[in-house]
Amino acid sequence: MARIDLQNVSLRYPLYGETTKSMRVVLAGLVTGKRAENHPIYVEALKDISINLSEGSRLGLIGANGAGKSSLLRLMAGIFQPNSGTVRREGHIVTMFDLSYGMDEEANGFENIDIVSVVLGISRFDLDRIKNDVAEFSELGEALHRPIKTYSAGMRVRLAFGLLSSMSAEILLIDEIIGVGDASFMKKASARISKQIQEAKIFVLASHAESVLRDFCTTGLVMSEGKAVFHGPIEDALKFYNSRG
Amino acid sequence: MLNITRILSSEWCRWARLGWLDIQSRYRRTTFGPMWIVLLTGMTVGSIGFVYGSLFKAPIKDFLPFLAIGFVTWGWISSSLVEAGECFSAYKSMMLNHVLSPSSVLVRVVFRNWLVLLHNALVIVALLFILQRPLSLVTLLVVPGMLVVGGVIFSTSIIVAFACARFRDLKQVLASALSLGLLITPVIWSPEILKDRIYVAYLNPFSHLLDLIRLPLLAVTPSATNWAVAFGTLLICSMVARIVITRYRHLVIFWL
Repeated sequence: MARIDLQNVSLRYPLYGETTKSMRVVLAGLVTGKRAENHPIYVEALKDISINLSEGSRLGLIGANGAGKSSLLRLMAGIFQPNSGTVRREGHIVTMFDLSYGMDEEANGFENIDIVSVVLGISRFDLDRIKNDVAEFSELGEALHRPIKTYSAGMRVRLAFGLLSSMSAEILLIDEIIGVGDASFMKKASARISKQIQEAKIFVLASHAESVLRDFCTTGLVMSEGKAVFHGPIEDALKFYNSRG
Repeated sequence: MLNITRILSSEWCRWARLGWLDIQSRYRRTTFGPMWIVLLTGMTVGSIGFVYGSLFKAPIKDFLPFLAIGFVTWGWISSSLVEAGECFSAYKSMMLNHVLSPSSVLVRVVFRNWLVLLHNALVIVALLFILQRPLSLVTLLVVPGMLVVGGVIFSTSIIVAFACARFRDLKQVLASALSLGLLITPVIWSPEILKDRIYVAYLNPFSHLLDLIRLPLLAVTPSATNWAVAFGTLLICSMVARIVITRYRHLVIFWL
């Protein structure tokens, strides 16, 4: 049983600027007895959002840059905790927010699959299958035996995407990664990700590409300045978003 | 509750493995690999031992093992803390992409440095063997000693990591404090040379931690004071670490 329930969730986080981050200011405040200038600026990332996702949900997050799409995804994943409201989730989550991280430049492709699979929590039992799968999909061939510092940007994406998309997920959260690589890779990638999306019980995608949203999502959530301003069928959501200009 | 413990322990195991992969990656394409750790420590201990042994007019047979154990243990403590201070910024992208307990990041750093310690321990073992130092049952006390010191390192690392993430200045303070610590802690010099002011050395909790590891290896039983201070430090540090982690673990991501 997979589900994500957000109930009146708000996220507000402190932003430590030049004046507030430095210890000098804190110390100066202690010495002089003044406590001014030490209040961080708060970013209101999400405001009072409620949404229930159950098995079969395919949700597209729509909104301008900085509307809170990525924050909402991270909150759904459990990486961010809300300041108020409740989040309940059940099911194994796989996130695709950034493609390459935790990779070691000096290590070769296979070794990097080892490293990232430890981060992702892939059991050693599955590792061989996944390695074969990634090798076949990425078409990197011999290059997998070379250090990844010799890889082009596109090759890195193939490796990282191949690995992340080989994971089976009950809940799949994707942030704007579709649209990388060359044309033939894109075709292959979208076929592969479609399979992963179909297998997921809950799927949430933040994207600006309307065609991608139409292809994969059934409902849409339009966000603006941290608030959910529209929630409904994907076509209506896109219409609503476009009519706002 | 049981479930949380299970998830956390599997996460800790995975991140410990990442610590081992870090060691491999650090020495990739070098001829001696991680043996470089041993070589460098051997050279440092050899040269400091030669110069300071003459300065203190200490017999080489006593001074070299004393210095090697002190130096290696201090290196363990200080490099763990320095790396802990940087670890949240270093692994920021992972923390932004995975549901991760901040303690797991520290497990990686602490375990990695413990592996370095095991490499360095070869220098100590070699010295004890070459100089034919007597070993006895007392030597086994090094195991509980290492556990206590390891516990202090882990809990202090948690505090340091959070503090350095919040206040960027602390990273600089930490580095200077640790290099000062090397001088004011009996790492290179023996507390005995302070004669009637020996208490100056033992005001410093690090001296007691060092003794827990150093004395057993030199076939001396650590004093009750050593144990008491070390356990006290462990208790206080782990309590503070617990408070820090429960209060700030969801906030630390926004400090980076």
